[in-house]
Amino acid sequence: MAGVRLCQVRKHFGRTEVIRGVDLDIADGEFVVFVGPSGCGKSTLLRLIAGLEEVSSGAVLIAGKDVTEAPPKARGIAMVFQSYALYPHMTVYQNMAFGLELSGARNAEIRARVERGAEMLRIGELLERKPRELSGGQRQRVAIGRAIVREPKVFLFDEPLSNLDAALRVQTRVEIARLHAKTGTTAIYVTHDQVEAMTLADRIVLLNEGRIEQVGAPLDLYHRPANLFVAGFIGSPRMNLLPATVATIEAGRPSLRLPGGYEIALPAGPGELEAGASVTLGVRPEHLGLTQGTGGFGGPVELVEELGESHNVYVRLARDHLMTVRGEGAASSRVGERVRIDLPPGAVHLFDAAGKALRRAAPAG
Amino acid sequence: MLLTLLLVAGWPLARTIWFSFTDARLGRIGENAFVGFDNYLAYFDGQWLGVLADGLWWQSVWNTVWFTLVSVSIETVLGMIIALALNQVFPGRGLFRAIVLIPWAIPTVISARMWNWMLHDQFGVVNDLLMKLGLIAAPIAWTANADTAMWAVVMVDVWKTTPFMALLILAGLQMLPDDLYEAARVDGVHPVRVFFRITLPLIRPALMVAIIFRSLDALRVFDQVYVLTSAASDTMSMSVYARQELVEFQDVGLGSAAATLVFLVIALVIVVTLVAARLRLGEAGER
Amino acid sequence: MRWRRRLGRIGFWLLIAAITVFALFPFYYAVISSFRAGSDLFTVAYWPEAFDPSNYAAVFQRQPFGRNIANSIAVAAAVVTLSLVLSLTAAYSLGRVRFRGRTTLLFTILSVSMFPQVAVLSGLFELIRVFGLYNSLPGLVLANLILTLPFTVWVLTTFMRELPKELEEAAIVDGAGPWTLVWRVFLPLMGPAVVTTGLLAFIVAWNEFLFALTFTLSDEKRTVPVAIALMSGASAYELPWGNIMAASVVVTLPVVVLVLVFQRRIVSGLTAGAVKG
Repeated sequence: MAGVRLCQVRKHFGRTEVIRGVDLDIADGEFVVFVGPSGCGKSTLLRLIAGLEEVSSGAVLIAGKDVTEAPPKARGIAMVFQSYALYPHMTVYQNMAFGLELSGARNAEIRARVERGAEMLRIGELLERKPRELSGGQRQRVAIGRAIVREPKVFLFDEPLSNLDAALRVQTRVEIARLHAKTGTTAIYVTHDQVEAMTLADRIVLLNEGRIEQVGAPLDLYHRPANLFVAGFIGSPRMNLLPATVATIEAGRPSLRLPGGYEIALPAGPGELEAGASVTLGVRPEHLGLTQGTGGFGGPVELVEELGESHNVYVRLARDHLMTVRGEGAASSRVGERVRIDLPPGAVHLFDAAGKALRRAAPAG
Repeated sequence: MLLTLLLVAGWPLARTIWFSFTDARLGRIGENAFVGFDNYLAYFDGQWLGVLADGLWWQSVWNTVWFTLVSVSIETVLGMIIALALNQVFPGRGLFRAIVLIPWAIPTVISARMWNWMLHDQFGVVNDLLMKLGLIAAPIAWTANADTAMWAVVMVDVWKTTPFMALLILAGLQMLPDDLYEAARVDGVHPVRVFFRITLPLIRPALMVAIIFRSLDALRVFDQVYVLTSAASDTMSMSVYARQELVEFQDVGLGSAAATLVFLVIALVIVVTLVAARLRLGEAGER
Repeated sequence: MRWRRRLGRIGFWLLIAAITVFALFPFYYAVISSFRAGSDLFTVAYWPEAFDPSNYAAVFQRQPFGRNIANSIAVAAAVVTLSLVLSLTAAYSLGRVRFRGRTTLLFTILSVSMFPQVAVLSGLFELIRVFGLYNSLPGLVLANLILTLPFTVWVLTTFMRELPKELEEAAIVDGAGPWTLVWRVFLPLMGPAVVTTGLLAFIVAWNEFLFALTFTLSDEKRTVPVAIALMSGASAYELPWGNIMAASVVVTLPVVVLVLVFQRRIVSGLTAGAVKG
């Protein structure tokens, strides 16, 4: 059981810098998810922790011990790979036992641990099979089982669910959460899927271009994105982002001018705003409402998506601005219809010209 | 490790090139004197000497080039037909593939001998068959006759290496996605058109690789020629010429010069190919 | 429409039949001829009418043909073993370890396999003389290695590269060192590839002619292809065709069996070597 600590970790392949100075503290027993667009360096960061890549500079600490120079096997980690990476020529039992065997454990000890792990993952009856005789979901369980029997200080997951179909993905996701609750082992999990990140993580580390954009609890990132990037990445459908200028500020209450000439007044704004400043207004589709009729903030409906339990309506605001509005149940608007968008001032996020979030006076929704 | 590998292959080659500039003889290969380019071309006593002045060398170059062009062309066409057949799904395909492979696995010397016997002027089955079919009136001395000897060599080579060609082309064919053909079928394109407009352009890289491999192989042809017609000048290839100078005439210097020339010809083809491949790779980006 | 399709089917099977006859007839004819002795040979026969094994007896009596076969087997076995051990090590470094100029090196190796044999003949001749290996089987093994190594390295490297990198990493995380990695993870997975490569090397060594012809002198040291090529009768015009065919059949039979059993493997090896080139 141990925490993980990264100090100013950098990594470059040749000329290209992939990780540009990452500082991170992961507490003992925490489930941390690295998430970000492809090429953001999340997998590389995980491989640096595993010791599969060497850091260019900085330090990696596991359980308070500096393991920067240590080989993977000396780090007390276990890893689950995206392609499962099961040894095709070994049975499930041999796959799970291989690491223990190499570490010189006694046979009885190996058997006991493999059987315990197999039971935990309900793969007991598969032990004598070869990987090619297993389904994708079973293979994934074996890969997790192989990691569990090593009883590591830290679990590393590299996009473990991306090769599974949608139904199995949800099922295995639940399984992983259950296992973590049971073992309480520190886990680091890499994914590009924000649903996995939101559901599994104690804390999410959102990476972009080799830097940490924000670290925080899932709802923190959802409600208080630190910048435009986080705001755009977390949440589906994506947050609506509109360019705006501060028209006036009256008694600390700013009024914003939006594309198409609309103005909205906010209840209370961040103190640092000045009249005439350009900002970006962000509001999540699920915080918007629609009323039929013309005039005011709104426009024609361009597309309606029905999802059953909810619906998305796309409203053309100005020439190049499309607003997404999400509502429960079936949509009441039809394509071509003009609608008014209800924009609750309390749900609005503001970002300055550099993309940094402006602290709001009132918390949203 | 890799260095040893290169040394093992590189050292004999380097020595061969060195010998080509000396007057070494087979019996006393250790003692030799440097003679410059004399083995290649020298003017001596009002006469041009050396490999490049030898009519027989130029004859062998011409023979080899002719052999390469003719046999590789035939093999490409036949190989393509066999590959297309093998690309179909039909019962017994595995067995058929094995049958096609057999000529390739038989030692060249032995296939040359088999054909030698089949092409025998008096008792050969080929003459017998052709006469029964009424295609020829009198038996032909295939391997002895200057006009047909080279065709006999080509025949043996075609028989032996068409399978190899077919397999390489087949590998190319099997990399083509099925939905391409399904799309063509949906569009109602005639199969012959599909072959020339879709299949052929797409397997061109694989085809080129196969043709180049085979050409390089054909340029160094030795076994068939040696067994079928030994050292007759009508069929002599560059390799046979070099070995004859080297072993039969004991002239290591001259033989090495010829061998070096063979090497240069093939190296040139390789370099040109690699450069062309590189250029194409460069256009297509990484890989 | 239907008769056209049926016609197409018939045409297809005719084509298959034609190719089969073309591929098999020389071998078939050699077998028939080998069982016909004496003056029988001087009439052309298309069907196996006679069954006279005297040619086979003659082949083994008149010359050290059994010895030649043993030579061929010994040389081929040694060549296969040596090339596999050497090329596995080389393939590991070429396929798994990244270093500058790796592609260039690979292409150089491929080019070496395209060398004309005759170009290394005199250099190799000297080398074999210096080592005192002239007219000996080890000399032939050395010469054959030049032929087999480039392509065995190439083929094994191609196979090695196809193994997923994650597997190697999983083993490293499991605590495997390089030795365990090669022997417990890679070798079992490479098994089929090793068999394939070994087969190809065997066929090359078994068929090799130019080196064997040049570097051996006495009948007892010759390999089978040389022995068959140099078989002659009382005069140059009276070749003992019956014996030659019998010998050919004896030598070809193991190869035919190998091909029939391992055709799938051989095909994958041949194409692996070429497609990526």
